[in-house]
Amino acid sequence: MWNYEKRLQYPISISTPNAKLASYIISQYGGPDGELSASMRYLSQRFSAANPRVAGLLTDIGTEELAHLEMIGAIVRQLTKGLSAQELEKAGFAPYYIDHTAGVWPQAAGGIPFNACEFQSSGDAIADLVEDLAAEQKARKTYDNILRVVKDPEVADPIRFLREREIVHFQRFGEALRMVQEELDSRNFYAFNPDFDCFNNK
Amino acid sequence: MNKPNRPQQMTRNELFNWVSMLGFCAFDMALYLDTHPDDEEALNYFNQCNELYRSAKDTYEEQFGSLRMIPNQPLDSWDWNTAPMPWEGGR
Repeated sequence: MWNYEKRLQYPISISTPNAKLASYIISQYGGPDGELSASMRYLSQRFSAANPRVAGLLTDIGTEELAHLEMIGAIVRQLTKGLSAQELEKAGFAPYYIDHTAGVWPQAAGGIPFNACEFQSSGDAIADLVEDLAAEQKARKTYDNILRVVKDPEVADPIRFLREREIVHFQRFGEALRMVQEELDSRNFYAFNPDFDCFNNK
Repeated sequence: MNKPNRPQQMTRNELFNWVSMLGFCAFDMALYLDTHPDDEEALNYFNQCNELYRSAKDTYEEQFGSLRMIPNQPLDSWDWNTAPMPWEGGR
């Protein structure tokens, strides 16, 4: 289960709303490399992870991703709060506003809704962890792209924090992959699936 | 960072930030320990962070209001969902 702590993982206090920025940053809420994908990916993959260290790491990083999802939601909320329909329209936010007003809904910057096909839960530790390494780099890339267009330091500061965390998670997943491979036959890591064959095909 | 005051002497903002820093410290060390369970130095540092974190949260909640739905001490009044939420600048 989870316990909620009533605070953001990193403080967010944006004084100037900017709906155009919100329409970009919402991609890290519900886009292909966003925090909803990240949290659901790790929190789903952990069920089949036979190595308890890997299952624990997926739980902990998945939990942190939920806190990042909350941070992105807070940024989108603060960037759009208090703006009129005319101001939202002028900022190019009208297509989103028509369906969601100033609510927070998981979609990519291009308007594509969140889709579980953005991540895998493959039931194979090596396949999952290699996906997780790629996912952290893809999220880092999106934050880099966001930082190239964000000039407001009150927005860029928490985005930089989130970018840093992608790099730390990448490091931890690399270590987890090594832990899994150390328990396998180095002549053929793929001889069997450690999350499946040792339970089912004896 | 300057040497912090004792938590009991901090302003609300200082103490809130102190809780956030310690929470981050403990969490990041937990991720490290997930892949380095035999690193005793890291475990000691985690224990230090965690002790400060728990006591900072208790002090914050005693003085300024709920951080956790189920806190460590009895409540005088229910403020869990009456004070502003974190994304609305709540602290």
